[in-house]
Amino acid sequence: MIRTNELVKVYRTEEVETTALNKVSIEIKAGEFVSIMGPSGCGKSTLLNILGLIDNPSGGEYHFLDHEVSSYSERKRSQLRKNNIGFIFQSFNLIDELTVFENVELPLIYTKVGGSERKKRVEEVLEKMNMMHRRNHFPQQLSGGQQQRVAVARAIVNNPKLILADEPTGNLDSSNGSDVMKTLVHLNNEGATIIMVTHSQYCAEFGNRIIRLLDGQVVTENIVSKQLL
Amino acid sequence: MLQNYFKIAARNLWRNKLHAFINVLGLSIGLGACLVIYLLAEYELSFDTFRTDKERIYRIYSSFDGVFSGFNRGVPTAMASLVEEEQQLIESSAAFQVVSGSIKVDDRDLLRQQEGIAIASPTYFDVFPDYEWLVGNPVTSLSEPYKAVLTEERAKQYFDITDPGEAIGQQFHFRDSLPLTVAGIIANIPKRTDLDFEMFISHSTIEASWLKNNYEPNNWSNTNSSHQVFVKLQSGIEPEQVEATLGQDAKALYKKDSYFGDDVDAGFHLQSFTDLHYNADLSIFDHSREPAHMPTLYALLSIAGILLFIAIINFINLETAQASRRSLEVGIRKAIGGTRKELIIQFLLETLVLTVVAVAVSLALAKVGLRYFADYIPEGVGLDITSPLHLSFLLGLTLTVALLAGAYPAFIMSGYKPAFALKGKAKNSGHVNLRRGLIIFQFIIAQALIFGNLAIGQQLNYMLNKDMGFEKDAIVYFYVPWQSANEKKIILANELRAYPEIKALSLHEQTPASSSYSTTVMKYQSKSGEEIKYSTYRKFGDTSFIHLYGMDIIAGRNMVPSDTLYEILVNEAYAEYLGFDNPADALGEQLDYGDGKMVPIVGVVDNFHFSSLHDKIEPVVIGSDIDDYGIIGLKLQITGQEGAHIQAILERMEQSWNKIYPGEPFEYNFLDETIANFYRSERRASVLSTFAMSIAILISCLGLLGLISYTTAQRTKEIGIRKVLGASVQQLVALLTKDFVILVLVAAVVALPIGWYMSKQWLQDFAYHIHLDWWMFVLVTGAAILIALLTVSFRALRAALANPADSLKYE
Repeated sequence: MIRTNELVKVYRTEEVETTALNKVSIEIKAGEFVSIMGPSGCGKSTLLNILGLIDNPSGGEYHFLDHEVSSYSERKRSQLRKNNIGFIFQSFNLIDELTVFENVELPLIYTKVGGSERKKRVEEVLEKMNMMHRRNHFPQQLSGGQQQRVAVARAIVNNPKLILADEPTGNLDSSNGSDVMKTLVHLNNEGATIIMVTHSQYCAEFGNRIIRLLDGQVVTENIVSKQLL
Repeated sequence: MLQNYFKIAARNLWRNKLHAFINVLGLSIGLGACLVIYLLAEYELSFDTFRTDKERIYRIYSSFDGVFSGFNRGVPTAMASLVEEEQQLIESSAAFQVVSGSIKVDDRDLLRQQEGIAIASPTYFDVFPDYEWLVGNPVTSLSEPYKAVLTEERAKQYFDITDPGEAIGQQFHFRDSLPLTVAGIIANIPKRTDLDFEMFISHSTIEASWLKNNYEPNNWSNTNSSHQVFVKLQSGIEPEQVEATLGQDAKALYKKDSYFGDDVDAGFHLQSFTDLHYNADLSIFDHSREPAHMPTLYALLSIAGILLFIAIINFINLETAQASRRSLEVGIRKAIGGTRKELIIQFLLETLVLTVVAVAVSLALAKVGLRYFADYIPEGVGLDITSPLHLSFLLGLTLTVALLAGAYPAFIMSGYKPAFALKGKAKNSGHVNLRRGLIIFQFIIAQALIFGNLAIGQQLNYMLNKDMGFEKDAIVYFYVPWQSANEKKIILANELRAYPEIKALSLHEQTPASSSYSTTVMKYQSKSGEEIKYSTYRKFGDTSFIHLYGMDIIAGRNMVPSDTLYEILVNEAYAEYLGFDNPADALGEQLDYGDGKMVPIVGVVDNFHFSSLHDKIEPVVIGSDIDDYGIIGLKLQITGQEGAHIQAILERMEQSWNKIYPGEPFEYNFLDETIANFYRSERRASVLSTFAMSIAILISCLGLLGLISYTTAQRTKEIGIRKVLGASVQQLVALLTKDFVILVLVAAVVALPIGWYMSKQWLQDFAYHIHLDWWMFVLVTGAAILIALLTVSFRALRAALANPADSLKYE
């Protein structure tokens, strides 16, 4: 599903040039649950952004669903993104002005799903995340765990092939965190490919492979042998 | 999708109430001003647009050069028959007299001073066929003498009837003694026409009645502005052709047949009917409404444009300042699949929602504005929501403003890179310079307007307080009825002279300074044999005239009492014009008063302003002729007296008046008010510029407020660190406000020369005017800096007083 070849990302300011990714080559197959780990500033989030098509690499190749997308325009990336990728962020990133229902509905609006179909699918996914009773609440009225459940609902409402999670438990307590992890494992079991960036070894081991980055390079890749669930 | 956009737009507005309020307010004020000005312009530009063949209709007017010169919107009465001969060029012509006067129906009360009356022949309706005849037609109703046609409204007013047809055959009297019979009824005239005649008297009545003494037909000597000739040219004929043939013929006839002969070179020209409402030099008709003043209208339209422009700039400014707050939302929307196009549409729709709210508010503001400026706005100007024109203007305005105001912020915000936007780090620094530029632009306009406003105010103050060369305080004057017998004037004057409260009284032709004037061509045979002719301003009066108005005799003596022209006084300017540098040398010189009557100069009075300060002081002659005295002027002994006391004197004067002129209204004027009224249009300009200036300042301040909010938010951390390091509140406020002072100063460099230039242009209209001094420049910039500081200091102070622990937690 995903293959990168010597992916490079360089940030330039007037005086400093920072290499965030240095020739990263990885491959992720459909159905995998891959965790990406590494210290702050090692390039995890940059890699995730490029894989999620919300940022462009400075060099190298990126093959997503058999398309070479590294030089795609914003418009083409946006097309691929909205049909295939769901995002879960550490800080939830719900839109404050929209209710729970409307937040989850938004990706369906962008993929031009009809009104009644939208309602059905949003209700289904809210039911699944046990958030139906909060459908008319605004994000500020919810706890962190509830907000992340809404964010997950929003990420999966379009049935994406790929779910990208950037420290999904970083802002949650351990109980809410493990709820989120269980959900991700469940989604993976249902067939979704998941790539998750995390600092936590505990969370990382929910996946079936761990990629470690240091200074923008892949240092190790291990298969997780022990299944926690 | 759309629903979602509108929903989020509404919620966004609600959530950021202050921001939305500032934004909507700024836009509403600009829009409101724009709307009022649009309504005014639309009103003025819609006059007589409905007339058939209006492009082929022209008015003939006169110009003169010689012993008297200038334009006259009328033509000599002999022009009427001349145009009828030019059938190859002229399809039809309408010669008419514009008159006014009292109407008496049966024994009912006299209807005084009825306006909108034309003495016209049936051909008037060939040139202007757009009248709806309810009863009769032009030929049957206006061919015979002593016939009149009324509008339905007038007919009902005069005869107390419900069916206008009942008025046919009814009789009434014009100016007491002209009997007229109603022979036709036309529908009421529309509001937006300058041909606002509500009564037509048949033209043949002139020849048949005493009217012929007033309106001498077939005469070339007398050019009265009330005698109008309109022509409809044959298709394909250009006005220049008519001027070349008819104009030249008339010119020759004028030279041959008029009293002035070779002394005056007359010219006859065509004025397009479509120009009638807009030509301030020629004006429309006597007693009619004033023409639209095109320079004012253009000035207003540019003001509307500028105000709207700065309101839009303000909007853009405030929106882009808010942009970083919205960057996260942009990031999320893009991450979950929103395209740039979708985001642009979303932001544009948000702007549209804001604009719609602003337009709604501006409707209310416009209503208030129309009421507030009621004195300056013609009746009939107003918003009509059912008018397709007004509705499409509102719609067009809303969409244009939404697009202009929304496009730039939408374009910028939708372009954020999602990876950065999600971190709230959307690149924004470039817009700071843009925002500064916009603020500078706003302050250029504001300061230029402040300067102009100051100049207008100073000039007004100067005009109202300048020594006119005569006294104007505590002087009351009133007109005696037209063509009043001399004995009546004298009896009334003598009765009033007996009042202990009246210090001085004089019978005269005009007050020393007046807005209307009369001139006489006088001739002087100089010692060298040269004949000096001059069209001299007349200020005739009795021997008390110069005492009443406190004029100084600088050489010679006052005239001796006489009811006819016997001796004259001249002003210093006339003495100089005649070649006497020493006024005393002019004494004893004889002047030819037009018809060969020689009169000696017995005194020279000091120069005084004979009209407004627009005009230079010109040669003036003061003589006596009781027939010409239409005014009684008097000085009241009112030092330290209460208003009620003055009122009591005026009431007693009215009793004296009523004994001599029963039934005539007693209408008095205070001279100082009359003189103040010379400057009505300048006061109007002053009100207008104050209005434009206030709005420009207000909107600019809203812009500043937006910018300071943004700056303090951006610099919260910096302020915290500086505080921890020991900066005082004063230092921090200075740090935050310094930049704004610099912006205002930069704007001043551009604004002051603009303000200076515009004011200088405006002042050139006055023969006597103020000088634009250095202190005005300092004052304007000082005021602008003060306004800017007052606007930003509150926010700056709040930021500087914030607890540093809070601000450092911010990141």
